[in-house]
Amino acid sequence: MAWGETMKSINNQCEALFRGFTAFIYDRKYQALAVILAVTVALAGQLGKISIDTRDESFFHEDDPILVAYNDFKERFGQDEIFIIAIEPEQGLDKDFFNTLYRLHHELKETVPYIDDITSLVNGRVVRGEKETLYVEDLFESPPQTEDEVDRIKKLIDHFPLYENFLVSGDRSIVSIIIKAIAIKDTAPDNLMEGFDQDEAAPDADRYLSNAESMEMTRAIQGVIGKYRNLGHKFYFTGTPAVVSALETGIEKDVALIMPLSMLLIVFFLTLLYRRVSGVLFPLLIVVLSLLGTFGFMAAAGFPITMVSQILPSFLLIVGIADTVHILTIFYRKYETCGDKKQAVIDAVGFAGLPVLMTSITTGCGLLSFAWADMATVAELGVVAPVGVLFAFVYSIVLVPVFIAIFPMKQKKAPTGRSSTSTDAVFIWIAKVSTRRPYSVALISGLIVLLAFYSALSVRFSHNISTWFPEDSDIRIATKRLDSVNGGSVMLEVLVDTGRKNGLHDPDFLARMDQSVLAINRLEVSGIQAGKTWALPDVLKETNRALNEDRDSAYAVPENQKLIAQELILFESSGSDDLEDFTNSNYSVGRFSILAPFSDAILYAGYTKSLTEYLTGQFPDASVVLTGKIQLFSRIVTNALSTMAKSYSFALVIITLLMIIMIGRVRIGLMSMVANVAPLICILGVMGAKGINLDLSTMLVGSLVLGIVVDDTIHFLHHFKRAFDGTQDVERAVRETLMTTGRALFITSMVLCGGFFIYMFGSLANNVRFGVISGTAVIFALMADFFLVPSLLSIVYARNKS
Amino acid sequence: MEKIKRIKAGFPLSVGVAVLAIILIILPLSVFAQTPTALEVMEMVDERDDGDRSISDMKMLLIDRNGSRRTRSLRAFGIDRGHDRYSIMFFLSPGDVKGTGFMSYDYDQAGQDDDQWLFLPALKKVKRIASSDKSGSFMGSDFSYADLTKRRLEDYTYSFYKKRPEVVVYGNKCRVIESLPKTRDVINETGYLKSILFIRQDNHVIVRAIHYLEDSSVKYYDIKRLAHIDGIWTALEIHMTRKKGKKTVHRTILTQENVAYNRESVNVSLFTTRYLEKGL
Repeated sequence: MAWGETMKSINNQCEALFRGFTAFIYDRKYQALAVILAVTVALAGQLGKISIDTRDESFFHEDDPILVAYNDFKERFGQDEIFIIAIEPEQGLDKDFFNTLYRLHHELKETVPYIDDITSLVNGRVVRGEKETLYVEDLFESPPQTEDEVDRIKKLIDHFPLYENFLVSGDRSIVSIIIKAIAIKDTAPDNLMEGFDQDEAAPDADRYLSNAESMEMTRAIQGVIGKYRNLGHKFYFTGTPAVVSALETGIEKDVALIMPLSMLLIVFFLTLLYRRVSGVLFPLLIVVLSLLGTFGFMAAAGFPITMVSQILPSFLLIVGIADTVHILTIFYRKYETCGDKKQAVIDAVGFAGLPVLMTSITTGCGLLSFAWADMATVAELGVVAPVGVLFAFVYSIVLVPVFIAIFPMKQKKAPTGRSSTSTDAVFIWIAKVSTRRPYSVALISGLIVLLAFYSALSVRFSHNISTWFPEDSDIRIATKRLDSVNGGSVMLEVLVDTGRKNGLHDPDFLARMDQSVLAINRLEVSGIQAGKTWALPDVLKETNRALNEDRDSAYAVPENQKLIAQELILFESSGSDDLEDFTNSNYSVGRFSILAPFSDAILYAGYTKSLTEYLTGQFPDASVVLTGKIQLFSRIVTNALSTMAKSYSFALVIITLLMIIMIGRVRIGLMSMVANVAPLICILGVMGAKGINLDLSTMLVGSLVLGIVVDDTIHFLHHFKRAFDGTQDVERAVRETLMTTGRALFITSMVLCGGFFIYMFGSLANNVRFGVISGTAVIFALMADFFLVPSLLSIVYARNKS
Repeated sequence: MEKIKRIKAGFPLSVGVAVLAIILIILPLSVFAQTPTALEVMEMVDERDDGDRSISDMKMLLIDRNGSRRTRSLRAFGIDRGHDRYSIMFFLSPGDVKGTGFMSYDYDQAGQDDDQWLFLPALKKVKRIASSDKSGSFMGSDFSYADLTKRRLEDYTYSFYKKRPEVVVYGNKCRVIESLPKTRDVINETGYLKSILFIRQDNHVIVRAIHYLEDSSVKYYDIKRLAHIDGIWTALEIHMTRKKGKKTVHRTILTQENVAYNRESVNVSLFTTRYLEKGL
C-alpha cells in the first residue's frame, strides 16, 4: 500500500503540474501557438525529401545476410528481377505478329529508361551449325517479309529449348519480352579523363535502382504497350518490379480515396457527438499538425514511407483524436457548469493530462520495442511511431488550451442533446451488470476469449502481394496467365561455388549441373514447381550441337574437359556478352536461374528448403547459396515471424510493467493486462473464422489494437481510481467513470471505428482486411473496458473487502 | 611553315616588312598552318603505317570486378592484302585451350562481312563463323572484334570534341575527336553509340578512346606503352576497362612481346584453314 500512497502523491503532484502548465499556456496563447507552428513548419519543410520505398529489400536491415548475399549477387551478376511483357498474338505467330514484335522490342529498347538488357525472340541468340559453318546471329535481325522467313524463324524457335517457357510459351500462345533494369545506377564521371583512373573508394549506398526509378520504367513500358494495344493482340505486363509498381499505384489510389473519406467520417462523428465547431476543428487540426510533424521528422531522419509505415496516418489519427477527445470531453462538461473557459480547460487538462501522458508513455514504449525488430521497416516504425505519439501528446496538451483561449465558444446547457439521457441510461446499465454480476460477465468474456483462441489457432502466416490486388486487376490477371502458361514470373537464383578456377570445366560437375536442371524442374513442394530452369550446361549443349552440324544427338554436355574449355571460349567469343547469366569470369561459380510462380512467401520457404537440401546433396564439393527475389520473400516470412514473436512479447512485457507502475498495484496491473490481451485474442479469432491470414499488413494491426486497448484501459482505470478513492463503492465508481471517461472512450471508438471501416472501400485487399480488423478491434477494446474491466475490478475489490 | 618562309623571303626589308613581322608574331602561327579538320585528322590516322607481315606474342590479363584474374596468351600473325587485312592467332595457354586457333579476313569494302574461322583442337574441326556482329567479346576480353579491326572512315561523322578539343596525354599533345556512327547498322555491328578518340598530334596514333555502349556501359581504351618498332608505332600495352558509371565491371590488359614486322615467314600461305588446323 505504501507504493499506492506514493503513486497517489505523484498523481496529485502531476495533476498540479498539468494545471499550472495549462494556466501558463492559456495566458501565453499566441507565443505557444507561434512556437508550435514554427516547429511544425520547420519539420514540414523537410517533407519534400521524403521518399516511398515499397521494394522488398526495404524489409531488410542493411546487414541482414540474405540482403547482403542478394546485393552481392546483383553486384556480380546484375539484376535478377525481370519485367515481363507478354503478348498473345491475335492469329498466332505470323508475319504480322513478328513485325509488331520487332517494332515493339526496338521501341521499348530505345525509349524505356534504366534498361540493362532486353531479350525477346527478336534478339534471341542463335548458335547453329550448317555443314562447316557456324552461325552466330540473332533470331531475326530484321522483320520477316515472306512466309518462308516466318517458317524459318518458327523452326529455329522449336530448335532452341532455352526459349521455351521464357521467351515463348510451350503452347506458342504467348510471346514474352523480358526487360532487366540496371542493378546499379552509377553516374558517369563528370570529367572526361577521370574514367581512365582507378575506381573511387566506397560506393554510395543509394545507388541501387530506387522505387521511383522503377516506377518510371513501369510507366514508360506501359506507355509503349499502350500504343500497340489496338492492333488486336492481347498484352500482359507483370514480373516482380511491375507488381511492386502496381502496388505503389494501388496504395496511392487508396490513400487518395480513404484519407479524405476517413477524415470526412471523423468530421461527421465529431459533429454528431459534440455539436460544436470546436469539437470537430480542434481534434482535426491537432491530428493534421502531428502528422505533418511526424512525417517531417521521417523525411529529416531519412526514413522512407514503406508498406509498414503507411499505417502511420491511421495510427496517429487514433492517438491524436484520443488525446484531444479525452481532454475536450471533460472540458465541455466543466464549461457547461462553470461557464469559465480558462477554469474549465485547467480542470480538464488537470484531470485528463496524466492519463493522456500515461497512455502516450505506454503506447510509445510499446512501439519502441519494435525498434529491435528483425524487419527493417518494422524497426523504423518502432522509432518513428513513438515520435509521432510524442508529437500528438505535446500538440494536444498545448494546442487544446491555446485554441480554447483564442477562439470564442458558446456555453451550452445540454451539449450532447437529448441523447445524453439515453446514453447515460446505457452507462448506468453497464455499470450495474458488470459490477453486480461480475463472475457471469467474466465467465462469458472468458468463454468468448476461449472460443476466439480456438478459432485463432487456424490463423496462418501468409504473404502474397499478388492477392492484394482485385481478381480482375491487370497485374493479377497477367501474373496468373504467365504463371499458368510459362510456369512462373518470379526469379530464384542459385549460385554453386566450386571454390576453384575453371571448376566448371570439369565434365563431371557439369553433368551434375545438367541433371540438377532436370531435377529442379521436376521438384514440387507445397504446390510450387519451377516453370523453367537454366544453367551453363544448356549453353554448352547448344554450342556442342552447333559444332556438330546441328545433330540432335550432339545436344549434350561434352565429356572432354578440353572440349568444354574450348567450347566456352567459343561461347565467350560468339558475340554474346551474357556469360554472367551463367557463370562468373573465372568459371568457379555456376548459376542456376529458376523461374517460379508468384506464390505465397510461406510456401517459398518450404520450396527453397527442399531445393537447398537437394543441391547440397548433389554438390557436396561446392557451396550452394540461394538468392534472388524468391529467397528474399521466404526470408521476409522468417523475419516477420521472429519480429512478431519478439516485438509483441517485448511490448506486452513493457506495457505490463508500466501498467503496474502507473496503477501502483501489481494485481490490478496484471488484471488490466487480461483486459488488454483479450481483444487481441478475439481479433485473431475473427481472423481465423473469416479465413484471414496474418500477413505483413495484418500483423501490424496488433500494434494498433494494443495501442487502442491499452489507452482505453489506462483512461478507465485512472478515472476509476479517482472515483473509487472518493466513494469506496465499485459500482458508483464504475458508473462515474463511464459517464466521464466512458463517454470519451465511446466517442473516440465511434470515430475510429468509422475511420477504419472506411478502409473497406479500398481497392487493395490488404486495405480492406486492415479496415475490417482494425474497426472490429476498436469495438472489442471498448467492450473489454466497458464490461470485462469493471467485472474484474469488482472481483478484485470484493476479495479485498472480504 | 613553308608558306610563311616564302612570304618572308619575297618582301624587301622595309617598314612594311617590319609591320608584317609584328603581325606575324602577334597572330598565332596556326592560322597559317591551317588546322586540319576532324576528318583530315582521322584520314591521317587511317593512312598511318600500321605494319605488314607482323608477328607478335599477345598476353591478355582479364580482371573481373572482384579482382579475380585470368591469363590467356596467344601468338598472332597479320598480313595486308591490298586494303584488306588477314590475321591468324593461336592460343598458347591456358593448357585446356592450347592450339585453339582463330583466323579472320577483314575486308575494307563497305557492306562485305568479314570472314572468320575457328579451330578447336579437341574437336579437330575448322568451322567458319558467319556473323556480322563485331560487338562481341574477343576471346572473353574487353576488346571486341571491332576494336581489333580497322574502322571504315566513311561509316562515321567526326568532329572535334567541343569541351576539350586538345588535351595532353602522357606528355604528348592530342586532338580529341568525337565520332558518331552514321547508321544503325554500324551501331549494331560495333555496339558503340559514340566514341571519343584521343589522337597524338605527332604520330597520329589513337592513344586513348572512350566508347559508349548501348547497355549504358563505357569502355576506356588506354595505351600505356607505345614503341617504335621497325619504324612502326606499336602499342605494347593496352588497358581496356569496361565501367558502369564510376565502377569497373571488367578490365583487360593486353600486352605484346616479340613484335616484328615485314617477316618473310609471314606469307599468304599462313592464312589458310589448312594452316589453322595444323597449328603452330
